[in-house]
Amino acid sequence: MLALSLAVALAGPPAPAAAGCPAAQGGTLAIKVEKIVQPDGKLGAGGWIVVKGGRLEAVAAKEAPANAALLEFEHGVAAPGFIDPATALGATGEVAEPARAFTPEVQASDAFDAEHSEFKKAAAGGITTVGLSPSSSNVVGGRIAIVRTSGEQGIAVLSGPGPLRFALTGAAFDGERAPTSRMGALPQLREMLAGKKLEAPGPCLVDAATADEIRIALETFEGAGKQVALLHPNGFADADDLLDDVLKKGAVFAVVGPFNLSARERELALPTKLADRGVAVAFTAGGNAAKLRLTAALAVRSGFATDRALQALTTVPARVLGLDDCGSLEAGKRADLVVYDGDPLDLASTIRLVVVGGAPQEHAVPAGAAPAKEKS
Amino acid sequence: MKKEERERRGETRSSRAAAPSLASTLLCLCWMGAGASAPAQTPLAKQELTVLQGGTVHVGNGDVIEGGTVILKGSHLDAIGKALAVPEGAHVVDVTGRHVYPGLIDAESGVLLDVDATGTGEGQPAASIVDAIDPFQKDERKLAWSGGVTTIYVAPHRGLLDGSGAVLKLRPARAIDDLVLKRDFAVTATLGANVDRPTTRLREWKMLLDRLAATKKYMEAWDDYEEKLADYKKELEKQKKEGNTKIDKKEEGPKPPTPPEQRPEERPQGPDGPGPGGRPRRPRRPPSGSLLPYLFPDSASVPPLHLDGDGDGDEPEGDGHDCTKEPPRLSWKDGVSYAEDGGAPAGGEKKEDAKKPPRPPRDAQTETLRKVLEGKLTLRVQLSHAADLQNVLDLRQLYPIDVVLTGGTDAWKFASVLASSEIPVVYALAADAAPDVAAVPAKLAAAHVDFALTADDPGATSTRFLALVAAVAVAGGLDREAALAAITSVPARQLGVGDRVGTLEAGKDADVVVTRGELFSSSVVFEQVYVDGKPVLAR
Repeated sequence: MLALSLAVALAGPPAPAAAGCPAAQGGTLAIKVEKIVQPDGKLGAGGWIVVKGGRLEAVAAKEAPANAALLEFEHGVAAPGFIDPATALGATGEVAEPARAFTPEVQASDAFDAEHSEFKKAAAGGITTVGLSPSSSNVVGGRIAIVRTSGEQGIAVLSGPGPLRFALTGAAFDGERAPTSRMGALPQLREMLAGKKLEAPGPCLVDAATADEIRIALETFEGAGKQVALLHPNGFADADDLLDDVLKKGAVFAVVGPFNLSARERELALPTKLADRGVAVAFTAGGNAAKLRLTAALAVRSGFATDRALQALTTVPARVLGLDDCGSLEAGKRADLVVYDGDPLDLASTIRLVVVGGAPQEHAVPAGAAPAKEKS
Repeated sequence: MKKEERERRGETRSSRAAAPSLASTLLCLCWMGAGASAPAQTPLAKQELTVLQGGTVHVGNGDVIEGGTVILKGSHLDAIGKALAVPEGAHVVDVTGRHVYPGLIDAESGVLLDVDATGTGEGQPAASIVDAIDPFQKDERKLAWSGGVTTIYVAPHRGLLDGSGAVLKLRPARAIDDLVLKRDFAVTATLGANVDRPTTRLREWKMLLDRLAATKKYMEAWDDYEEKLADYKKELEKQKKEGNTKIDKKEEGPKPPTPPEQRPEERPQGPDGPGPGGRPRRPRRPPSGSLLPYLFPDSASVPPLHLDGDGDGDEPEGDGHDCTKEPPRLSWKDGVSYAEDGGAPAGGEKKEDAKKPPRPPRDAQTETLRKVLEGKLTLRVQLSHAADLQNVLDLRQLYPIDVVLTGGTDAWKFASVLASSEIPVVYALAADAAPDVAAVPAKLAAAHVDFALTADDPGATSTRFLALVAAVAVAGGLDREAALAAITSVPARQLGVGDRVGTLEAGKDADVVVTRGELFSSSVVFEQVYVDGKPVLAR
């Protein structure tokens, strides 16, 4: 059970998290848990996690610092906050500019609505960072915005430049505007990639569903020396030779999901198939925490290793977004963490604490429910 | 079998020969229906004994036995307890460190259903889902087993009032009858958003109420008829004794029309109109009116139903046919108690003679609904709006029906009423439910509502993830053993098969699931699944 032994009341009525929050005021927060998710996705020994100045000062420490505010979770498991690399979360209106197919200068950050309630829900559900991305309706959609789902003010925060979003799927070749075909689009795309216009951190996020779209995406982008993160590459499910090609080339990312209960075996087996061939797999679910957790649970049910599943929610999407300050619980990184009362991948586990950028959020226990029983 | 084994079992050559070979052959054919590579036949006399030893046994009713033993004998559970002695000749399976559960039960499933066959437009209560079962769907069964599910309830869902559902045991059998545990369990009523039948909720309710009212009238007409038939028979006996021979000839019942082809205009164009090809239908009784009067009592075009079975010759409306004055006219109308007149007897018989009461039409669809109103069949209402729930509760005041609610996202708002009325609920929960929705099962449990859990995604694929749905309910605050009961003993009892499945108790079917890892953990591995004592899944 949650045992509070601290000077600052955190479990009061839903007051803004900033009020009375020690870390936000420059103080130190120490959280004791039984297990900690390691960067390799495995569950390791617990201890004290020390948060100061929005960053992790120590992880799995034996003792808490002297003047720190303390939070103890007897059976708690601490995991990095989840990262969803491609969402339309909290955007005002469509995140798409369909009048033109090539819009490299468009920034999704311009559609950002910091106070959108979806961010609060995402944070309460354990998602601490999202990539607010232009949609797949443009060949070159524009720049993804890195968004922290909460912060000291209790609203979402824009942070840093993000990668570029592309699409080679059917939606990008709407007959109403040029180019109307992939063939027509590629020369211009190659030209843009060769030039300096498309510099961005992280890999290029490309929508490519069928096997031929995947192949073209890999050839085009890797040919231009860019890393590729393929979005929803379902074509891999049927094309084994494609996977062999991928293995030869270089680091490739795949972003899959969300899965629901109607997902077919083939779909659910894809993450395992990709990871076995060296593709780094990340999950996405439009910023919906419940869907993200279900996606991971279904993948694991179908044979995806649990450590890979945790990485698919944390370290891999961080790399997809070109971020190195989050995605794992290591000293020096952002203090984005979630404490569960059991294995984070278990759908039966509830969230006891969410910390975003060092600022603890109100507990994400649903109102009116009986208190969750501890796993014996 | 080795000679030593046989001797140990005390079998002699003659006793084996005496075993009912035909029965055992049939038994084996049944079991080997799924594949020709099954092991050699076992004689009926010998029962498979399997012992699962050393696991954490979750009985399904809240009890948990650490270091428990489960003994499967043939197709039944023989004994469950802590560290029981192993009977001789048993096949022992060491399940130390594992968890043992009853086979899971999905209260709403699409497994084994031929999807196209379940939609019948406006729905036919008399239909049975058993006719839509596709026993050759092996893969779906395997997937269900891989999620620990061994029993399911399937039902049609398209029309407002649709056919009956059935409880199926997921055996590896190909004959439908081998799969059906209980047929015609409930008639399904689907309310709320329905893509097949876009309509307003108001109209839907009116349709449902009208249908039930029509059923009630139908029942009353039949009860009335039965009563009058009894009276008539008594009267007949009496008059026979009095020697009125005219009766025998005239009262053989409603005369067939003579000749009917010449009077087509007099035939009602209803279900008793001319048959195919214009030939008259077999005239076994007079149509005293179709169901139209029941459904449209206020319509001016259909004359009000008037049954005159007591022979007092009510004055007919309209043309004032006076049978005492006119010569007998063998009109088709005569001798039938048609809607207009009060049953003028044929041939100008004396009004005091007993007349056989006209038989109301029999309608298969309404007969099924009649069973609902009589409480012999449950009405399983699927709804999602809280307002519909209120209507259903009101309906229950009007008619003595058994209601099982499925869906019911807003059910928790009526939790206390549901609990006090003892209305069973099947709560459909989405596996990606938001926290407030995931908390509903816990609220229902706190209010002592009788509820089972199922996936809010009625497809063939969702059944295998039943445990995940229950896990979400646990995250929402539901106790773990209560969540397990909601997918085992509770649906078993609600479906009326609680004496056979749902818990690990002696005498019940040997449907057992062995997992590595606790059932509600993501990384659970379903290692062994037994259905009726036979392993259907082994890893």
